[in-house]
Amino acid sequence: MKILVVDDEKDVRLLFEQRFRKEIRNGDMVFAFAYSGEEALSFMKDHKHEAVLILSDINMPGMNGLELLRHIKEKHHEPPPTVMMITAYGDAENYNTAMRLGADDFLTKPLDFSTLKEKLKTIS
Amino acid sequence: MTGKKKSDDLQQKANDLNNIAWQLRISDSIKAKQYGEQAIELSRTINYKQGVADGLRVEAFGHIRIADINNALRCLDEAEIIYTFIDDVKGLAVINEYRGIIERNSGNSATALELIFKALDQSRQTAFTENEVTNLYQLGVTYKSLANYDKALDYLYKSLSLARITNFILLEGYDLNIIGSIYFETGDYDKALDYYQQGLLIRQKSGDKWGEAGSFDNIGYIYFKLKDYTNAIKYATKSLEITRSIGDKKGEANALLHLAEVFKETNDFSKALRFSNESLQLRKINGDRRGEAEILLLLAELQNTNEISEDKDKFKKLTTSLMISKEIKANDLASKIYYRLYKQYKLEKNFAEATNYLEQHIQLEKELHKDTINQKVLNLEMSHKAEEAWKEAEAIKLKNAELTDLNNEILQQKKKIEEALAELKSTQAQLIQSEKMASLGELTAGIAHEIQNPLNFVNNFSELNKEMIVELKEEISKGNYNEVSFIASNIESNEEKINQHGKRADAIVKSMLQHSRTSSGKMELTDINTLCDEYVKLAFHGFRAKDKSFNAKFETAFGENVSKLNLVRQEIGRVVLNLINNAFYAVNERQKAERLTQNAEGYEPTVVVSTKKEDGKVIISVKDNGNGIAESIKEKIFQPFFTTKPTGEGTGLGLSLSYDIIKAHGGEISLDSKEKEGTEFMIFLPI
Repeated sequence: MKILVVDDEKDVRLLFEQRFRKEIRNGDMVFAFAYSGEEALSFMKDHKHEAVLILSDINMPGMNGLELLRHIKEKHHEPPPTVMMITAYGDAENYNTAMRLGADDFLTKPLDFSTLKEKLKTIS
Repeated sequence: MTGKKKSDDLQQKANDLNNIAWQLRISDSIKAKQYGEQAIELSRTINYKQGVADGLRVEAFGHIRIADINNALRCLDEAEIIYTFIDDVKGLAVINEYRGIIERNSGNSATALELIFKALDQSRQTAFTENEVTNLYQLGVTYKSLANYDKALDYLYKSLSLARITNFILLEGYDLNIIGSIYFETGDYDKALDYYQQGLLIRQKSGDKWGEAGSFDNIGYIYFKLKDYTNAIKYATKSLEITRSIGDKKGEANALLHLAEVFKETNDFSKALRFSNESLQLRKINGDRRGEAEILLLLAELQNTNEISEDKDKFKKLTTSLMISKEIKANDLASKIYYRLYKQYKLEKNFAEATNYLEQHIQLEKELHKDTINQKVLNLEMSHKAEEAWKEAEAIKLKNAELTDLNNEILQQKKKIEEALAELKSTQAQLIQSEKMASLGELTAGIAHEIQNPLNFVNNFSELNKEMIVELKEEISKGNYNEVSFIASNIESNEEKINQHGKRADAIVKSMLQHSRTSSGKMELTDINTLCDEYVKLAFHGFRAKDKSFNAKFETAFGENVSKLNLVRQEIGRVVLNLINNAFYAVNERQKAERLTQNAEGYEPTVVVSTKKEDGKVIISVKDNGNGIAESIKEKIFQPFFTTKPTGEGTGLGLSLSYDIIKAHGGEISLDSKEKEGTEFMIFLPI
């Protein structure tokens, strides 16, 4: 399963690589990282249909996670990939907007990786 | 005993003597004068000026009471020089009053009034109430002597009321007595009797024997006028007894005369004659020439009614009386005597002489009335003048009082203004705090969420390390040291991340706390770039937290050579935050507007925060591509409470405070703005 993680915080990469070190080592999962909404879109353009799951932060400079979500769900991708939002801003408004735009799930930071892993199991 | 101590003791003794003298001056002038003289003698040996003057004033009063004008003036002159020298206004008030009494007794009522008014002024000035009472009394007496009874009563009632307030019993008695005598002279005997009796009670209460005798005599004389001869004799007799017991020769002569008059009316001529003669003898001893003449006139009348008239020369008493009258220039008395002579000659059927004396009588009456009228007019004019002058002085005092009031009013208002200013300052401080809290509110919304980001790393990396330590132990037990080394370096780098993000969380919280704290005003060396970076992120996330639809590009361009500056970190931070917030607000507003015109795609909201070093200054620039600021409001933008935001959204203090803060740092803040293009705020801070 190829997963695209979108977050402006660069340390997210190290965190994910360590948290999923076994899965990565076993080849069960492949991670790609983008540090902005724009970067994520261009990655998806370049690697069509590769990523089945997108984990995106919301608050990012430039294009934010919700806009990215809208792009993914509305415009470019058929069938659209699963998109989970991961945000530090876990308020109702953010949640509702994300759901309205078609987010498949909504997780808050600090991220509980065991929960995330459980959810990933149901997707794969 | 040292010389100084001895001198002090003597001074005290002089003061004691003068105090007794002062207390006795009215009730027993003779004794008072003796004490005063002792005090003067003592004070002169130790060169104690105040003692000399205080003694002299009492001595002067003693001389006045026995009509020894020359000695009285001698004492007053010396005392006045001393009081003027030692600047004793109270003393001068007494001197002026006494001079006034002397002037009045010499017939110079206008001068008397002037002096007594002056004394009154000085007494009031020095809150010398005891003397104010006597001043008012003397004014009453003086006006009475001018036959100005209304004014006299006015001052006497004032004196009376003040005497009662201050419990100055002696003067209360004098006031009552002279008020009674005014009613007597104006023929209101009932009122006169009432006041005399009140006066009598007071004098008996105070043990003033001289006064008591006078009151009895006065009351008796009213009964005489009311033809109540029993009471008239009773009271005159009481007066006589007292005057004899205390050696009041003048009073004794008066009582005797009054008894004689009563007995004449009751046809008890032998008694009338006896008392008249006794009175005459006393008045001769006393040197009371007028009194002597008056009695001679009475005796002459008695001759005619006395059936046992043995006097050969029926005209002898009258001619003697006339001689005295002419000698002392008592024309009123002389006129009466002429009339008596006319009647006498008529009785003798000597009509030529009778006509002669009648003519003289009429002539004198004419002159007398002319004189009296002239004198009265003159006196009235003078007293009017004196009172005008006094009133003028009062008016000036009043004006001074008004000025004082005005001054007080001004002081009061000044105080009020100062209070208002203090209140304003406190309100301003509160507003500054509320402005801070408002921007803090914006911040906390961001921060509460923003803190989750570092926390995400702290929590997860630390959990990871827990797992990895377990793995590490397993690998150690397996002896797989390559793996051990790999895991260990992971743990190490994770630990570094935990530390790094922990600090980041700490910084976020601290920045919030610093922001909310009232300025400690502490200058610290601060990296401008770090400061700007921190606040631009906070502002962005804070803004985002508030308005989810908000999105803007923000760029930073930090000059590398920008040095650290010594400044109050949270204050400059607040300015930067404020400018960035404004910039985000501006671009957000423009974006909203562009959306309405379907022009949103062509507009990219951008905020650029940059720093650079130039001309010995650090410049922080916050530039946006928002709506720009209209030329018309550019000038007002730094004014307190000026805001373009809807009510409730802005305090209007942000830029005003920013301006103040930058000024306080010796810097400047400027703006460059074009409508529809954007705004750039620049902060110049000296290095």
